Amino acid sequence: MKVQFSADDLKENRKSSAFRSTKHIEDIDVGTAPKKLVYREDNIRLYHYSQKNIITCLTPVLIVFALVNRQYMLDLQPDKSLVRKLLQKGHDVFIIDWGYPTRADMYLTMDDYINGYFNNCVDFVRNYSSNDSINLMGICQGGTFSSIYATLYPGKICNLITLVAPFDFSTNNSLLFSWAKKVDIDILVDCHGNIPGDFLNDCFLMLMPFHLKIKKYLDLLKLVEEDDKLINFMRMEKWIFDSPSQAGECLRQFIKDLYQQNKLIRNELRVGGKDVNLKNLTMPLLNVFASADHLVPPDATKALNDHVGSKDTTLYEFHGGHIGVFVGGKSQNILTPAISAWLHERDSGNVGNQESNKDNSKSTSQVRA
Amino acid sequence: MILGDDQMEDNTGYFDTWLVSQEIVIENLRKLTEQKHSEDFSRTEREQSEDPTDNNHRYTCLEQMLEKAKKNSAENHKVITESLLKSCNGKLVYSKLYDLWKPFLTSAQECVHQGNSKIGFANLAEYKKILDRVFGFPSAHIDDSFDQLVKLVDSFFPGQEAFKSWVDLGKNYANMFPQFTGNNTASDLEFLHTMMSVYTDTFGKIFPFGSVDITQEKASSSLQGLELLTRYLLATARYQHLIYVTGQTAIDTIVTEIFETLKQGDDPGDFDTFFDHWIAKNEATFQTLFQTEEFSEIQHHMMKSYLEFKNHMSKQVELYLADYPIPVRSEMNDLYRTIYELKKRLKFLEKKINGTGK
Repeated sequence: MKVQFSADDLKENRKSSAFRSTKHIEDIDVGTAPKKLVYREDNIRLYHYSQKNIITCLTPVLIVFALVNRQYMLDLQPDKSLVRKLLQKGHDVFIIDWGYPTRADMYLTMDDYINGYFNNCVDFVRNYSSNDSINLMGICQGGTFSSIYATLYPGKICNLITLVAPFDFSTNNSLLFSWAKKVDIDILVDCHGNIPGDFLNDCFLMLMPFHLKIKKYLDLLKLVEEDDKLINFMRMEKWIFDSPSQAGECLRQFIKDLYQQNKLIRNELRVGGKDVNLKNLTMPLLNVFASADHLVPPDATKALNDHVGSKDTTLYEFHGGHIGVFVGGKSQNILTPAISAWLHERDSGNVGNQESNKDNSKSTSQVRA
Repeated sequence: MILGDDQMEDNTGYFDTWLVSQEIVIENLRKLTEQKHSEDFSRTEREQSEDPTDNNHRYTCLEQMLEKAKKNSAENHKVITESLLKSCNGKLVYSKLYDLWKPFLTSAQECVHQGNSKIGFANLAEYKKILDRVFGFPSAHIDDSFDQLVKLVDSFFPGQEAFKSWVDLGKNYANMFPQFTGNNTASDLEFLHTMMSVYTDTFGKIFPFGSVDITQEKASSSLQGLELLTRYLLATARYQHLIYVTGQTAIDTIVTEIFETLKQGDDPGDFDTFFDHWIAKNEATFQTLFQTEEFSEIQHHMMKSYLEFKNHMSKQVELYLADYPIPVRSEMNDLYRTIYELKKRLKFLEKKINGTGK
C-alpha cells in the first residue's frame, strides 16, 4: 500500500502566491471605527466612538481592556467588530487606551491605574455625558480592574459587564495560573523595571506552543491566495505581537495579590489604602465566560457571581475560546446582541435627555494634556 | 562502543595501541590510493607515461610517500613509545585523565543508548572528588617545598619578608586548587582577595591597581558573574534536556502509532492528517509535561537564575561606568521614582484644589 504523505500545501507555487499576496499589503489597518480623542492623561487616552445611529441606550458604555494587550482587538476589522456592533445596537461607546508604559512609568501601581487613570476616565465620561453613573464593560484583566473599581466606586457605575475576566485565582485549570503562582515576581520586576511585552507574549505562546508557533503558520499557506483572509490573519498577528510592556509595580501587585494570594475573592485586597469588598458591588452584573478558554478558565470567572452584593447577576456562557469572544462569528451574531439587550433592559434614561447629551457632547469635547 | 577499564589500564599498552592504529590508518590510505589508481588507469598506461605532471605520476609519488611514512612509523614506533613513557611514566597521566572523563563519557553514552537516563554532567561534586584525586598533591609535600623555597630566598635576601607572603600565597593556591572545580565561589573569592592583598602589600606599593582601574571589587564582581552565568547555563541545560526527552517521547509514540496503522493494513491518511495528528500528539505530550511540578520547578529555576545573572551584570556594568560622567540605570530609576512621586503629589493637590478628589 502506498503511503500518501505528500506535502502538497508546501509546494513552491503556494509559497510564490504567499509572496505575491503579501507584497501589495502596505499597512495592516486595525481599529478603524471612527472615534475622537476626548481625554488624555500621561500615556492614557480616552476615545469616544462616533455614533451615526440613534442612541437607544442612554447610559454610555465605557470599555476597559486589559493592560497586557491593545484595545483595538474589539474593532479588529470592520466585519468583526464588537464596538461597531454595539454602535449599531444604539449604544454610546467610550474606550480607554492604556498606551505603552515607558521606563518612567515603572512605578505605577494598581492604585494609580484604578484610583487614578480609571477613575478620571469614568469621571470624564460622567461629565461628558451628563450622567451620574455609567455602564462599565471590562474585558479580561480589564474586567478584574472593573470589578475592583465597581466595589470602590459603586455610585458611579450603573451596570457592570465583565467578559472572560479572572476573579478567583485559586484554580489551576490553566497553565497560566499554575505558572503565575510559581513566578518570582519580585526578582522579575527588580530586574526589568517594566516587564517586557515580548516576554509576556512568549509566556502566552508557550501555553500551546505547537498550535501557536507551528500549526498556525503552516495553515496560513492554505489561505494565502485569498486576500481577505490573509489580511485578517495579519491583523490578528499584529494584535498578538503588539504587546505593551507592563508597569512593574502594578504587575507585581497583580501577580502577588491576585494570582498568588487570591485576595480579591477573599475580600482581602487593598488598593490605594482602600479595602476592596465585593459585597459593595451592588449594581446589576453580567458576567461572561468562555467555555473553552485556555487563558482564563471558566472556574476563575464564574466565581464572581457568588461573591458580589448585587441582587441582579447574570452568568453568560459563551461557547468558544478566549479570543472568540471578541472576533468570532458568535461574538458578532449572538454575544454582542445579548449584551446589548441586557443593557437596554436595565437602561433608565430617556430619549429626550439623550438627544440633548449628544448635542452637548459635541460642543464640549476637549483634549486634556 | 563503551570503552572498558582494561583497555586503558597502563600507559605502555595505550601508547602501543595508539601507534599501531596510526600505522593501520596509513596502510589503509595507501591501499585505498592503490585501488583508486587501478580503477582509473591501467598499469600499462601508467608505466608508459613519461609526463611527470599527469595523474599517473602523482599516484606514484603518493604511493611512495605513504610507503615511506609507514616504514618510518614502524621504525620509530619503539623510540616514540619509549619517549612518551619517559615523559609520563610514574604520573599515570593518561589513566588519571581517563578517570576524570570516564563518568562523563559513560553517562553520555548511556544517555545516547537509553534515551531517558539522567545525565550526570552537572555533578560537579563528583568531578571535584576526581580532580582531588588526580591533582591533589599531598599537602605536606607542598608545605615542605615552599618552606624550602622560603629558606632559599632568605639565604639570598636575609631578613626580607616581602617574598614570604607570595610563597604563602602559592602554598595556599596549591592546596586550594582542587576546590576551584567544586563550584565553591567563596573559596575562589577568598583566594582572589588574598592575592589582591598580597599584591597590594608588595608590588602594589609601587604599581597600585588603581592606576589601571582593576579594583578588588570589580574582580570579585567578575567572578561572581561567572558563577551566576554558570548556574544559569546549568539551569538551561536541565530545561533543554527535559524538553528534548519529552519531544523524543512524543515522536516515538507517533512513529509507533503510524507503524501499527501500516501493519494492520490501514490507510494512514494524507499529509494533512499526519500533520494534524503530529501537532495534537506533541501538544498533548508537552501539556502533560507543563502540568508537572518538575517542569514548573525547572522553568522557575531557569528564569530565576537568568534574572540573577542579568541583575548582577547590570550592577557590574554600573560599577565600570561609575568613573565616567554617564547616568547609570539605578540613578535614572531614582530619578523616575522622584518624578513619579512628584507627579502623584501634584495630581492629588490639583484634585484637592478643584474639589474633585473623591
